[in-house]
Amino acid sequence: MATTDVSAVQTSSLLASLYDFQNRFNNDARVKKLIKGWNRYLKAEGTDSGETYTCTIEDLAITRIDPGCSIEEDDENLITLQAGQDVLVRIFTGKYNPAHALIDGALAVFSGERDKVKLEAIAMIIWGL
Amino acid sequence: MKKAFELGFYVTFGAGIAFGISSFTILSELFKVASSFWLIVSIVLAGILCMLISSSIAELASMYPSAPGVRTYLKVALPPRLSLFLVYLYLIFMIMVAGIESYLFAQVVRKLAPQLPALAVVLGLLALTVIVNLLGLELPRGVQMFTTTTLILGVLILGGMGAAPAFRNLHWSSTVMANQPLSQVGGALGAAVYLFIGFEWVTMMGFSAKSYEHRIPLSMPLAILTNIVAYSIFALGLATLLPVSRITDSSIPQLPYFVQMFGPRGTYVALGLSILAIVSCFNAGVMGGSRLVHSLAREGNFPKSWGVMSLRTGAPIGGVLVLGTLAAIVSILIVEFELQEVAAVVGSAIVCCVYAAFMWAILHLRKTQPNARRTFRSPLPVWLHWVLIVLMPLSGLWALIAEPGKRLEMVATAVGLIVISAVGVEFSIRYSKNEAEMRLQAKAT
Repeated sequence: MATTDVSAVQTSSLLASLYDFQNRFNNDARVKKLIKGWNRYLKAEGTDSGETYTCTIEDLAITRIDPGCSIEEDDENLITLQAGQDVLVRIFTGKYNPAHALIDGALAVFSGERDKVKLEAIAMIIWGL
Repeated sequence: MKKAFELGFYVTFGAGIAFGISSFTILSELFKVASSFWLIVSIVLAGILCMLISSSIAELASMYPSAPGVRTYLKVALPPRLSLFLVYLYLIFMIMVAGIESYLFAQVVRKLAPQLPALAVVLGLLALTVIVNLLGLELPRGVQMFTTTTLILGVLILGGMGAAPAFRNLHWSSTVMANQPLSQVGGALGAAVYLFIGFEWVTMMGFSAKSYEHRIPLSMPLAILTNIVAYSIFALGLATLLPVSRITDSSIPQLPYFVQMFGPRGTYVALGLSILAIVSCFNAGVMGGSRLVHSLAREGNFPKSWGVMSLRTGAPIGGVLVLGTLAAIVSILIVEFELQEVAAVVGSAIVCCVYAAFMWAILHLRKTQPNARRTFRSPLPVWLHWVLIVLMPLSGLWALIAEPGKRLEMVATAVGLIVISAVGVEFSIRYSKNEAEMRLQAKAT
């Protein structure tokens, strides 16, 4: 299990961006329509900072954001996003299209093909990217 | 157990995507320029070259895991115009393969139902594939593994049955060295690369970051090795069972081979193998091609409508429709002018150049980003990279001119595609500039 320094969590820009993302995600009716029956764990891993958070998506909302990740790496419901901390923050605040980040080689996504597209669609809906 | 399944999936995916119906067409083409011995040498050499290239691709994949391979690797290392130009050529290759595969499938089907027009079968198959992809249906991993394993085992066993007499009478003859072997291998090498194209697609399929450390780098040479054995044995079987003229006269030499082996029922065997090849190669090709169109559209290189996706299924609707339409146009041209062999060899020459660009990308990135994360490093020495950078495009060019009867068609087609790609790049650059300007204007107002 990855561990995260709690003092860093308090001030993390990544955590702040994830809360911002959670807020937009949970309050968008179109996103809810898109993710019907889609319960996943979204792990955001900063490759340079080592910070890791796991967002739990269940019942049409992000219900929790936890530091670290207790989910098995080969769990089919786990979606892992790996990038530099700055890139992750830009992605979760809508300043960097995740599809572009993937093509630019700035972001790595480990999940089923459909989950990748679903994430891209979510970004499209929330930020119109 | 899970690790073995994962590796097995990667190997079968890489081997299956490279093993299409057009692989048999390329075998027929190779018999036109090389004797059976040198043809097998060419297949083995092409496979070894691809294995060497795969180690560099594995290094790129470890730097950019899960990225849309060809676009990312070229984008990060080459100037924008050149990288886009090569990506467009690669995309055209994929569209041509869709056209070739569907036409060859139609040829097999028409042996059983000659009353069916070839074009109807081709367009029907394309329409079916487009619908499957529009609905966002994907082949489960287990099914993908099963179809590819069945296909390759089938080819191995049936090829082995035909080649058995040759195995029993193996002996060295000095006549093998006659008739300019270097010229034979040179002419066949570039086209033989076609037999392995697609092995690199596995780099987009990694289950986790750790997959890029050992399993994906290992899976590519294993997939290539599997195909080297299957193609070589089948080629030997062809040479043993059929006169060369019957092999070279047909784009689907597997059909007379199976008919020779099983009588009229052999047509059903050919159809069975063709269906397996369609499942493992053609569908994955259309899916991958449409995703590439989608990515390029989302990047701003193509019109926005080409990047439309279904919010319900996640299917890249725009990409699928564009790829399906272009593949249908190419299919019509192939059916009308019997261009399947020309398209396959030109496609192979294109990919030889793209592979050389991958090798160059590795050297460039080692220089410009020496400290970037690399969980796998290619063990190839730098001089070998340079050898491959020179050798691969040369092999591709040689393949274009190896067959005197089709030299003009091959060169003209290659030049035509180069022009189309160059025009496409210009369009994309202007289009994306206009888009950016329009966005700025919209913001300002």
